[in-house]
Amino acid sequence: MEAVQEIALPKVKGNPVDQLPENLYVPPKALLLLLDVFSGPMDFLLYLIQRKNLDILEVNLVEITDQYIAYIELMEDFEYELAGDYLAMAAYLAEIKSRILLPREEDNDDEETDPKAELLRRLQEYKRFKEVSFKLDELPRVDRDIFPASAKLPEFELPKPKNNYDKTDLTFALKSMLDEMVRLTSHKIKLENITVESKMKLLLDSLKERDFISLPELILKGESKLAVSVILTAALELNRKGYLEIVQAEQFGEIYFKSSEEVVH
Amino acid sequence: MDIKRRIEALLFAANRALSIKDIAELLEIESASEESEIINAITQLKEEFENKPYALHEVSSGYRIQLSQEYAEDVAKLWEVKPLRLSRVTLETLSIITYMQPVTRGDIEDIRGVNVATNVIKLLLEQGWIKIKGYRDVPGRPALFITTQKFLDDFSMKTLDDLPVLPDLPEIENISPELSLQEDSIEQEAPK
Repeated sequence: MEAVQEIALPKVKGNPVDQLPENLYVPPKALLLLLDVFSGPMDFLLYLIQRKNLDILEVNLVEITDQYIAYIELMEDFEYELAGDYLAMAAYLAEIKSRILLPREEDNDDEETDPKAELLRRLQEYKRFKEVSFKLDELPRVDRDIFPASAKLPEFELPKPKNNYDKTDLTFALKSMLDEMVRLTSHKIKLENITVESKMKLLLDSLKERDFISLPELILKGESKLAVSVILTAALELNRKGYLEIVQAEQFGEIYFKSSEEVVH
Repeated sequence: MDIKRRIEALLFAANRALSIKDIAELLEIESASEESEIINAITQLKEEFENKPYALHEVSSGYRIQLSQEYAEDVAKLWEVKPLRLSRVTLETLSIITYMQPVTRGDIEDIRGVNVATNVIKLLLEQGWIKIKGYRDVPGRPALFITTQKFLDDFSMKTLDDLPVLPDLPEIENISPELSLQEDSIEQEAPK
Protein backbone atom coordinates (compact mmCIF):
# COMPACT_ATOMS: atom_id res chain seq x y z
CA MET A 1 0.00 0.00 0.00
CA GLU A 2 1.89 3.01 -1.25
CA ALA A 3 0.99 6.40 0.12
CA VAL A 4 0.13 8.80 -2.69
CA GLN A 5 -0.64 11.74 -0.47
CA GLU A 6 0.94 12.10 2.89
CA ILE A 7 -1.72 14.46 4.19
CA ALA A 8 -5.05 13.46 5.70
CA LEU A 9 -4.46 9.75 5.33
CA PRO A 10 -4.94 7.46 8.28
CA LYS A 11 -1.80 5.86 9.47
CA VAL A 12 -1.21 2.35 10.69
CA LYS A 13 2.08 1.85 12.46
CA GLY A 14 3.32 5.04 10.92
CA ASN A 15 2.48 3.97 7.38
CA PRO A 16 -0.26 5.90 5.61
CA VAL A 17 -3.13 3.83 4.33
CA ASP A 18 -5.01 4.94 1.23
CA GLN A 19 -7.20 1.88 0.71
CA LEU A 20 -9.44 -0.11 2.92
CA PRO A 21 -7.85 -3.40 3.84
CA GLU A 22 -9.62 -5.95 1.72
CA ASN A 23 -10.73 -8.13 4.53
CA LEU A 24 -11.94 -5.47 6.90
CA TYR A 25 -15.50 -6.03 5.81
CA VAL A 26 -17.10 -9.23 6.96
CA PRO A 27 -19.74 -10.29 4.48
CA PRO A 28 -22.91 -11.96 5.76
CA LYS A 29 -22.16 -15.27 4.08
CA ALA A 30 -18.66 -15.24 5.50
CA LEU A 31 -19.11 -18.39 7.44
CA LEU A 32 -20.13 -20.57 4.55
CA LEU A 33 -17.14 -19.21 2.73
CA LEU A 34 -14.97 -19.85 5.72
CA LEU A 35 -15.88 -23.49 6.05
CA ASP A 36 -15.62 -23.99 2.33
CA VAL A 37 -12.39 -22.24 1.56
CA PHE A 38 -10.27 -22.88 4.60
CA SER A 39 -9.14 -26.26 5.76
CA GLY A 40 -9.27 -25.25 9.42
CA PRO A 41 -8.61 -22.50 11.95
CA MET A 42 -4.87 -22.57 11.35
CA ASP A 43 -5.42 -22.08 7.66
CA PHE A 44 -7.86 -19.24 8.30
CA LEU A 45 -5.53 -17.56 10.75
CA LEU A 46 -2.66 -17.87 8.34
CA TYR A 47 -4.80 -16.22 5.70
CA LEU A 48 -5.67 -13.31 7.98
CA ILE A 49 -2.01 -12.82 8.80
CA GLN A 50 -0.75 -13.12 5.27
CA ARG A 51 -3.33 -10.75 3.84
CA LYS A 52 -2.16 -8.03 6.21
CA ASN A 53 1.00 -6.24 5.41
CA LEU A 54 1.71 -5.44 8.99
CA ASP A 55 4.05 -6.79 11.59
CA ILE A 56 2.33 -9.79 13.06
CA LEU A 57 4.59 -9.91 16.06
CA GLU A 58 3.16 -6.71 17.43
CA VAL A 59 -0.18 -4.96 17.15
CA ASN A 60 -1.59 -7.12 14.46
CA LEU A 61 -2.01 -10.20 16.52
CA VAL A 62 -4.49 -8.20 18.58
CA GLU A 63 -6.19 -6.89 15.45
CA ILE A 64 -6.20 -10.29 13.87
CA THR A 65 -7.67 -11.76 17.02
CA ASP A 66 -10.50 -9.24 16.84
CA GLN A 67 -11.02 -9.96 13.17
CA TYR A 68 -10.87 -13.66 13.73
CA ILE A 69 -13.44 -13.42 16.51
CA ALA A 70 -15.65 -11.23 14.33
CA TYR A 71 -15.84 -14.08 11.84
CA ILE A 72 -16.37 -16.66 14.50
CA GLU A 73 -19.30 -14.77 15.98
CA LEU A 74 -21.11 -15.25 12.70
CA MET A 75 -20.68 -18.92 13.09
CA GLU A 76 -23.08 -19.60 15.92
CA ASP A 77 -25.75 -21.36 13.92
CA PHE A 78 -23.45 -23.44 11.86
CA GLU A 79 -21.90 -26.85 12.02
CA TYR A 80 -20.88 -27.00 15.61
CA GLU A 81 -18.42 -29.77 15.09
CA LEU A 82 -16.37 -27.66 12.74
CA ALA A 83 -17.05 -24.44 14.58
CA GLY A 84 -15.69 -25.98 17.77
CA ASP A 85 -12.19 -26.04 16.36
CA TYR A 86 -12.51 -22.43 15.30
CA LEU A 87 -13.79 -21.51 18.74
CA ALA A 88 -10.88 -23.24 20.42
CA MET A 89 -8.54 -21.16 18.31
CA ALA A 90 -10.51 -18.02 19.20
CA ALA A 91 -10.05 -18.74 22.89
CA TYR A 92 -6.38 -19.36 22.36
CA LEU A 93 -6.02 -16.07 20.49
CA ALA A 94 -7.95 -14.22 23.17
CA GLU A 95 -5.55 -15.52 25.76
CA ILE A 96 -2.58 -14.37 23.74
CA LYS A 97 -4.20 -11.00 23.19
CA SER A 98 -4.69 -10.54 26.91
CA ARG A 99 -1.06 -11.39 27.52
CA ILE A 100 0.02 -8.83 24.98
CA LEU A 101 -2.24 -6.12 26.33
CA LEU A 102 -1.65 -6.69 30.02
CA PRO A 103 1.66 -5.68 31.55
CA ARG A 104 3.87 -8.57 32.45
CA GLU A 105 4.91 -9.22 35.99
CA GLU A 106 8.48 -10.06 35.45
CA ASP A 107 10.93 -10.47 32.67
CA ASN A 108 10.15 -14.10 32.10
CA ASP A 109 10.28 -13.77 28.37
CA ASP A 110 10.98 -17.43 27.96
CA GLU A 111 10.07 -18.45 24.45
CA GLU A 112 9.19 -21.96 25.53
CA THR A 113 6.28 -20.79 27.58
CA ASP A 114 5.30 -17.69 25.64
CA PRO A 115 1.95 -18.58 24.05
CA LYS A 116 2.53 -16.10 21.23
CA ALA A 117 5.80 -17.72 20.26
CA GLU A 118 4.09 -21.09 20.59
CA LEU A 119 1.31 -19.98 18.27
CA LEU A 120 3.75 -18.62 15.72
CA ARG A 121 5.69 -21.86 15.91
CA ARG A 122 2.55 -23.84 15.31
CA LEU A 123 1.51 -21.61 12.44
CA GLN A 124 4.90 -22.03 10.86
CA GLU A 125 4.72 -25.77 11.31
CA TYR A 126 1.27 -25.85 9.80
CA LYS A 127 2.30 -23.59 6.92
CA ARG A 128 5.03 -25.92 5.70
CA PHE A 129 2.62 -28.82 5.50
CA LYS A 130 0.04 -26.66 3.83
CA GLU A 131 2.57 -25.62 1.21
CA VAL A 132 3.86 -29.10 0.62
CA SER A 133 0.31 -30.47 0.33
CA PHE A 134 -0.18 -28.35 -2.81
CA LYS A 135 2.98 -29.84 -4.26
CA LEU A 136 1.81 -33.32 -3.35
CA ASP A 137 -1.40 -32.63 -5.22
CA GLU A 138 0.61 -31.61 -8.27
CA LEU A 139 2.39 -34.95 -8.55
CA PRO A 140 1.12 -36.87 -11.57
CA ARG A 141 -1.59 -39.07 -10.11
CA VAL A 142 -2.90 -42.39 -11.38
CA ASP A 143 -6.45 -42.15 -12.73
CA ARG A 144 -6.30 -38.37 -12.73
CA ASP A 145 -3.23 -37.47 -14.79
CA ILE A 146 -1.89 -40.80 -15.91
CA PHE A 147 -3.53 -44.06 -16.85
CA PRO A 148 -1.67 -47.35 -16.66
CA ALA A 149 -2.03 -49.39 -19.84
CA SER A 150 -4.63 -52.12 -19.59
CA ALA A 151 -4.96 -53.87 -22.91
CA LYS A 152 -7.81 -56.34 -23.19
CA LEU A 153 -6.71 -59.89 -23.66
CA PRO A 154 -8.22 -61.41 -26.80
CA GLU A 155 -8.73 -64.80 -25.15
CA PHE A 156 -11.11 -63.27 -22.69
CA GLU A 157 -13.28 -61.83 -25.42
CA LEU A 158 -13.75 -64.83 -27.67
CA PRO A 159 -15.79 -67.85 -26.68
CA LYS A 160 -13.86 -71.05 -26.40
CA PRO A 161 -13.99 -73.33 -29.41
CA LYS A 162 -16.46 -76.22 -29.38
CA ASN A 163 -15.83 -79.01 -26.92
CA ASN A 164 -12.72 -77.31 -25.67
CA TYR A 165 -13.35 -78.24 -22.09
CA ASP A 166 -11.41 -80.28 -19.68
CA LYS A 167 -13.12 -83.30 -18.24
CA THR A 168 -11.80 -82.39 -14.81
CA ASP A 169 -13.93 -79.23 -15.07
CA LEU A 170 -16.95 -81.45 -15.32
CA THR A 171 -15.77 -83.59 -12.47
CA PHE A 172 -15.22 -80.64 -10.22
CA ALA A 173 -18.54 -79.10 -11.16
CA LEU A 174 -20.27 -82.37 -10.42
CA LYS A 175 -18.48 -82.78 -7.14
CA SER A 176 -19.35 -79.30 -5.94
CA MET A 177 -22.99 -79.86 -6.85
CA LEU A 178 -23.02 -83.20 -5.07
CA ASP A 179 -21.45 -81.65 -2.00
CA GLU A 180 -24.15 -79.02 -2.11
CA MET A 181 -26.84 -81.66 -2.32
CA VAL A 182 -25.38 -83.55 0.60
CA ARG A 183 -25.58 -80.38 2.59
CA LEU A 184 -29.13 -79.61 1.53
CA THR A 185 -30.83 -82.97 1.62
CA SER A 186 -31.80 -85.17 4.48
CA HIS A 187 -30.86 -88.79 4.23
CA LYS A 188 -33.75 -90.94 3.20
CA ILE A 189 -32.86 -94.26 1.78
CA LYS A 190 -35.08 -95.45 -0.97
CA LEU A 191 -34.89 -97.43 -4.12
CA GLU A 192 -34.82 -95.49 -7.32
CA ASN A 193 -35.65 -96.73 -10.72
CA ILE A 194 -33.97 -94.36 -13.11
CA THR A 195 -32.73 -95.24 -16.55
CA VAL A 196 -30.25 -93.45 -18.74
CA GLU A 197 -32.77 -93.61 -21.57
CA SER A 198 -35.48 -91.82 -19.60
CA LYS A 199 -33.09 -89.06 -18.63
CA MET A 200 -31.85 -88.73 -22.22
CA LYS A 201 -35.43 -88.17 -23.26
CA LEU A 202 -35.97 -85.66 -20.44
CA LEU A 203 -32.85 -83.80 -21.53
CA LEU A 204 -33.80 -83.68 -25.19
CA ASP A 205 -37.32 -82.58 -24.32
CA SER A 206 -35.96 -79.77 -22.19
CA LEU A 207 -33.69 -78.70 -25.03
CA LYS A 208 -36.63 -78.46 -27.39
CA GLU A 209 -38.08 -75.74 -25.21
CA ARG A 210 -34.91 -73.75 -24.72
CA ASP A 211 -31.51 -73.44 -26.36
CA PHE A 212 -29.31 -73.94 -23.34
CA ILE A 213 -29.34 -75.74 -20.05
CA SER A 214 -26.60 -75.05 -17.56
CA LEU A 215 -24.94 -77.86 -15.70
CA PRO A 216 -26.29 -76.82 -12.28
CA GLU A 217 -29.82 -76.58 -13.70
CA LEU A 218 -29.45 -80.00 -15.20
CA ILE A 219 -28.16 -81.52 -12.02
CA LEU A 220 -30.97 -79.97 -10.00
CA LYS A 221 -33.35 -82.01 -12.11
CA GLY A 222 -32.05 -85.04 -10.26
CA GLU A 223 -33.52 -85.76 -6.84
CA SER A 224 -30.64 -87.90 -5.60
CA LYS A 225 -27.01 -88.73 -6.17
CA LEU A 226 -28.02 -91.62 -8.34
CA ALA A 227 -30.37 -89.49 -10.42
CA VAL A 228 -27.66 -86.87 -10.89
CA SER A 229 -25.17 -89.49 -12.03
CA VAL A 230 -27.69 -90.89 -14.45
CA ILE A 231 -28.51 -87.45 -15.84
CA LEU A 232 -24.85 -86.71 -16.34
CA THR A 233 -24.32 -90.09 -17.97
CA ALA A 234 -27.30 -89.37 -20.20
CA ALA A 235 -25.82 -86.00 -21.15
CA LEU A 236 -22.44 -87.53 -21.97
CA GLU A 237 -24.12 -90.29 -23.94
CA LEU A 238 -26.08 -87.75 -25.97
CA ASN A 239 -22.89 -85.79 -26.51
CA ARG A 240 -21.11 -88.92 -27.71
CA LYS A 241 -23.90 -89.66 -30.14
CA GLY A 242 -23.77 -86.09 -31.42
CA TYR A 243 -27.23 -84.97 -30.24
CA LEU A 244 -25.88 -82.59 -27.72
CA GLU A 245 -23.02 -80.13 -27.40
CA ILE A 246 -21.26 -79.20 -24.21
CA VAL A 247 -19.96 -75.64 -24.26
CA GLN A 248 -18.13 -73.35 -21.92
CA ALA A 249 -17.86 -69.67 -22.83
CA GLU A 250 -14.90 -68.82 -20.69
CA GLN A 251 -12.42 -70.36 -18.36
CA PHE A 252 -14.06 -71.38 -15.06
CA GLY A 253 -17.36 -70.28 -16.53
CA GLU A 254 -20.66 -72.05 -16.44
CA ILE A 255 -20.91 -75.24 -18.48
CA TYR A 256 -23.92 -75.37 -20.80
CA PHE A 257 -25.63 -78.11 -22.75
CA LYS A 258 -27.23 -77.36 -26.10
CA SER A 259 -28.58 -79.46 -28.92
CA SER A 260 -26.35 -79.99 -31.92
CA GLU A 261 -27.32 -78.17 -35.09
CA GLU A 262 -26.50 -81.04 -37.33
CA VAL A 263 -27.25 -84.42 -35.92
CA VAL A 264 -24.63 -87.01 -36.63
CA HIS A 265 -25.76 -90.59 -36.48
CA MET B 1 9.16 -65.36 -29.21
CA ASP B 2 11.16 -62.26 -28.62
CA ILE B 3 11.54 -61.64 -24.90
CA LYS B 4 11.15 -57.91 -25.47
CA ARG B 5 7.75 -58.40 -27.09
CA ARG B 6 6.67 -60.77 -24.35
CA ILE B 7 7.57 -58.19 -21.71
CA GLU B 8 5.79 -55.51 -23.70
CA ALA B 9 2.67 -57.68 -23.82
CA LEU B 10 2.78 -58.23 -20.07
CA LEU B 11 3.21 -54.56 -19.30
CA PHE B 12 0.45 -53.58 -21.70
CA ALA B 13 -2.03 -55.93 -20.15
CA ALA B 14 -1.08 -55.55 -16.50
CA ASN B 15 -2.91 -52.32 -15.55
CA ARG B 16 -0.35 -51.98 -12.77
CA ALA B 17 3.37 -51.85 -12.27
CA LEU B 18 5.38 -55.06 -12.66
CA SER B 19 8.74 -55.55 -11.01
CA ILE B 20 11.66 -57.29 -12.67
CA LYS B 21 10.94 -60.16 -10.31
CA ASP B 22 7.26 -60.28 -11.39
CA ILE B 23 8.30 -60.38 -15.05
CA ALA B 24 10.92 -63.06 -14.44
CA GLU B 25 8.36 -65.23 -12.68
CA LEU B 26 5.69 -64.71 -15.33
CA LEU B 27 8.10 -65.55 -18.14
CA GLU B 28 9.59 -68.36 -16.09
CA ILE B 29 13.05 -66.94 -16.24
CA GLU B 30 15.46 -68.08 -13.60
CA SER B 31 19.05 -67.30 -14.45
CA ALA B 32 20.59 -63.98 -13.61
CA SER B 33 21.84 -63.49 -17.16
CA GLU B 34 18.30 -63.75 -18.43
CA GLU B 35 17.18 -61.26 -15.82
CA SER B 36 19.62 -58.78 -17.22
CA GLU B 37 17.95 -59.44 -20.58
CA ILE B 38 14.72 -58.21 -19.01
CA ILE B 39 16.41 -55.01 -17.94
CA ASN B 40 17.87 -54.59 -21.43
CA ALA B 41 14.49 -55.18 -23.00
CA ILE B 42 12.90 -52.59 -20.73
CA THR B 43 15.55 -50.06 -21.68
CA GLN B 44 14.90 -50.76 -25.35
CA LEU B 45 11.15 -50.49 -24.91
CA LYS B 46 11.58 -47.14 -23.19
CA GLU B 47 13.38 -45.90 -26.28
CA GLU B 48 10.83 -47.40 -28.66
CA PHE B 49 8.03 -45.59 -26.86
CA GLU B 50 9.62 -42.20 -27.24
CA ASN B 51 7.28 -41.08 -30.02
CA LYS B 52 4.20 -42.67 -28.51
CA PRO B 53 1.45 -41.18 -26.37
CA TYR B 54 2.48 -43.64 -23.68
CA ALA B 55 5.70 -44.27 -21.87
CA LEU B 56 7.39 -46.91 -19.79
CA HIS B 57 7.70 -45.47 -16.33
CA GLU B 58 9.31 -46.77 -13.16
CA VAL B 59 7.47 -46.40 -9.86
CA SER B 60 7.82 -48.02 -6.48
CA SER B 61 6.34 -51.41 -7.43
CA GLY B 62 8.20 -51.67 -10.72
CA TYR B 63 7.55 -50.69 -14.32
CA ARG B 64 4.30 -49.74 -15.94
CA ILE B 65 3.17 -48.51 -19.32
CA GLN B 66 1.17 -45.38 -18.79
CA LEU B 67 -0.45 -42.78 -20.97
CA SER B 68 1.49 -39.54 -20.90
CA GLN B 69 -0.05 -36.84 -18.78
CA GLU B 70 -0.88 -34.53 -21.69
CA TYR B 71 -3.54 -36.96 -22.89
CA ALA B 72 -5.24 -37.21 -19.50
CA GLU B 73 -8.00 -34.79 -20.46
CA ASP B 74 -8.96 -36.74 -23.58
CA VAL B 75 -8.75 -40.10 -21.91
CA ALA B 76 -10.65 -39.04 -18.79
CA LYS B 77 -13.73 -38.53 -20.99
CA LEU B 78 -13.88 -42.28 -21.51
CA TRP B 79 -15.23 -42.54 -18.00
CA GLU B 80 -18.22 -40.60 -16.81
CA VAL B 81 -16.96 -40.46 -13.29
CA LYS B 82 -14.65 -37.56 -12.67
CA PRO B 83 -11.30 -38.36 -11.13
CA LEU B 84 -11.18 -38.17 -7.38
CA ARG B 85 -10.50 -34.61 -6.31
CA LEU B 86 -8.76 -34.43 -2.97
CA SER B 87 -9.92 -31.74 -0.56
CA ARG B 88 -7.47 -29.41 1.14
CA VAL B 89 -8.09 -31.20 4.43
CA THR B 90 -7.37 -34.57 2.86
CA LEU B 91 -4.21 -33.31 1.18
CA GLU B 92 -2.92 -31.70 4.36
CA THR B 93 -3.64 -34.83 6.37
CA LEU B 94 -1.94 -37.01 3.76
CA SER B 95 1.04 -34.65 3.71
CA ILE B 96 1.48 -34.82 7.46
CA ILE B 97 1.27 -38.62 7.42
CA THR B 98 3.69 -38.77 4.50
CA TYR B 99 6.39 -36.56 5.96
CA MET B 100 6.04 -37.36 9.65
CA GLN B 101 5.25 -41.07 9.51
CA PRO B 102 4.50 -42.93 11.61
CA VAL B 103 1.94 -40.55 13.08
CA THR B 104 -1.18 -40.79 15.22
CA ARG B 105 -4.37 -38.81 14.79
CA GLY B 106 -3.19 -36.70 17.71
CA ASP B 107 0.01 -35.74 15.86
CA ILE B 108 -2.05 -34.65 12.88
CA GLU B 109 -4.39 -32.67 15.10
CA ASP B 110 -1.48 -30.91 16.77
CA ILE B 111 -0.27 -29.60 13.45
CA ARG B 112 -3.61 -28.82 11.83
CA GLY B 113 -5.31 -27.50 14.97
CA VAL B 114 -8.48 -29.38 14.07
CA ASN B 115 -9.96 -32.75 14.89
CA VAL B 116 -9.07 -35.29 12.25
CA ALA B 117 -12.33 -36.16 10.54
CA THR B 118 -12.94 -39.90 10.42
CA ASN B 119 -14.00 -39.75 6.79
CA VAL B 120 -10.63 -38.30 5.79
CA ILE B 121 -8.73 -41.19 7.36
CA LYS B 122 -11.28 -43.59 5.91
CA LEU B 123 -10.80 -42.19 2.42
CA LEU B 124 -7.03 -42.49 2.68
CA LEU B 125 -7.33 -46.06 3.95
CA GLU B 126 -9.82 -46.96 1.22
CA GLN B 127 -7.55 -45.58 -1.46
CA GLY B 128 -4.86 -47.83 -0.02
CA TRP B 129 -2.54 -44.86 0.41
CA ILE B 130 -2.09 -45.27 4.17
CA LYS B 131 -2.19 -48.18 6.56
CA ILE B 132 -1.89 -48.79 10.26
CA LYS B 133 1.54 -49.89 11.36
CA GLY B 134 1.21 -50.72 15.01
CA TYR B 135 0.12 -48.63 17.96
CA ARG B 136 2.00 -46.06 19.96
CA ASP B 137 2.82 -47.26 23.45
CA VAL B 138 1.03 -44.47 25.31
CA PRO B 139 -2.33 -44.44 27.10
CA GLY B 140 -5.10 -45.16 24.62
CA ARG B 141 -2.63 -46.91 22.33
CA PRO B 142 -3.41 -44.75 19.28
CA ALA B 143 -2.90 -46.25 15.84
CA LEU B 144 0.22 -45.24 13.93
CA PHE B 145 -0.31 -44.44 10.27
CA ILE B 146 2.24 -44.84 7.51
CA THR B 147 2.02 -44.52 3.75
CA THR B 148 1.93 -47.55 1.46
CA GLN B 149 3.64 -48.68 -1.71
CA LYS B 150 0.39 -48.00 -3.56
CA PHE B 151 0.65 -44.38 -2.45
CA LEU B 152 4.07 -44.19 -4.11
CA ASP B 153 2.76 -45.90 -7.25
CA ASP B 154 -0.34 -43.74 -7.49
CA PHE B 155 1.61 -40.53 -6.99
CA SER B 156 4.25 -41.62 -9.54
CA MET B 157 7.13 -42.05 -7.14
CA LYS B 158 9.81 -44.69 -6.77
CA THR B 159 10.61 -43.97 -3.13
CA LEU B 160 9.72 -41.38 -0.51
CA ASP B 161 12.89 -39.58 -1.61
CA ASP B 162 10.96 -38.47 -4.68
CA LEU B 163 8.59 -36.41 -2.54
CA PRO B 164 8.56 -32.65 -2.92
CA VAL B 165 10.86 -31.08 -0.36
CA LEU B 166 9.17 -30.14 2.89
CA PRO B 167 10.09 -26.52 3.70
CA ASP B 168 12.34 -26.21 6.71
CA LEU B 169 10.94 -25.03 9.97
CA PRO B 170 12.67 -21.69 10.53
CA GLU B 171 14.01 -20.56 13.87
CA ILE B 172 11.48 -18.66 15.91
CA GLU B 173 13.57 -15.48 15.55
CA ASN B 174 13.06 -15.63 11.81
CA ILE B 175 9.45 -16.55 11.89
CA SER B 176 7.98 -13.19 11.04
CA PRO B 177 9.79 -12.66 7.69
CA GLU B 178 8.35 -15.98 6.64
CA LEU B 179 4.87 -15.07 7.63
CA SER B 180 4.90 -11.50 6.40
CA LEU B 181 4.60 -11.11 2.67
CA GLN B 182 5.88 -7.64 2.01
CA GLU B 183 7.47 -6.13 5.00
CA ASP B 184 11.24 -6.11 4.64
CA SER B 185 12.25 -4.36 7.80
CA ILE B 186 10.82 -6.99 10.09
CA GLU B 187 14.09 -7.96 11.72
CA GLN B 188 14.47 -4.59 13.37
CA GLU B 189 11.01 -4.70 14.79
CA ALA B 190 11.10 -8.25 16.01
CA PRO B 191 11.37 -8.52 19.78
CA LYS B 192 14.61 -9.60 21.32
